[in-house]
Amino acid sequence: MTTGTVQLPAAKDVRDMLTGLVGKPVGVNPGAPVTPTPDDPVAVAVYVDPYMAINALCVLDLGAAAYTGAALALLPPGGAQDAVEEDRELSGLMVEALHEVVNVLSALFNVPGAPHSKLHKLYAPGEDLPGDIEGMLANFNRLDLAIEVPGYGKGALSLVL
Amino acid sequence: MKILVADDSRVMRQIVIRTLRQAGYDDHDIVEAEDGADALAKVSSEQPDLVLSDWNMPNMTGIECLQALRASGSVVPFGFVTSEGSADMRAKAADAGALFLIAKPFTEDTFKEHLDGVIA
Repeated sequence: MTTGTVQLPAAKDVRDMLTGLVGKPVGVNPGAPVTPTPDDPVAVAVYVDPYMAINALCVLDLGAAAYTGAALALLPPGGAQDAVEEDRELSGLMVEALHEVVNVLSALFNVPGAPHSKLHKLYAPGEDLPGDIEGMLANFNRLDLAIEVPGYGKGALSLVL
Repeated sequence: MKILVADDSRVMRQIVIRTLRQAGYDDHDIVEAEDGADALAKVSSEQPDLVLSDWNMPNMTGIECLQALRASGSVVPFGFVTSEGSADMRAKAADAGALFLIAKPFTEDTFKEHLDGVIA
């Protein structure tokens, strides 16, 4: 029984969810925290409870953002790799696909006993983050993962409470 | 038959339509709606035989759309395709008159399981 707070999922739950989502066996292993720097923009998904309080964040580096979105929408790997390696930003269609990825990931937090979490907003890589959310990115209660989407490439994803 | 797919994400509508095809339901007319209000209007203008709807959408949610349909006397078969898979949400969906709830992520097998018998 939980105490009515949001819990971090297990890495295996994340793997099963991503694998189901993109229909390919996504590799998920312990990784380093995803932190934005001027050269490494990140995507941030914000989840809220029914009272609009922020419950959790999902932070994805460019690789994780581009490759999960592109794999979900069946976009060609080449375009996604160019977005990561050359453009350093996602196309509109990739952001749209990523929105669906992080929307479905909200189910990871919705386990019995936990308050209901819902995707509130997705900040695309490079978009300005509000100060309170930027501050939350370094919270200690977190799950940091290295992921690999077959046929697309590698990335990093952090879930932060 | 005609199937109405309601989701505010264009990508997800495409994925639902693709999964329908992969599950073998490929010779049906598909109509798309971008939120619950659009779906509600299209049920009356397009007269679909089945509605597959997301839950969380702007303007009108999927459950509000279903409730409005039932309140207006529509008995169109209605199923959810949503990231909301909790027992609570499933109960709410069933209470409102949904035939099934398919939780994202889904596969063509999940679609077959829920749609066989619903789609002629």
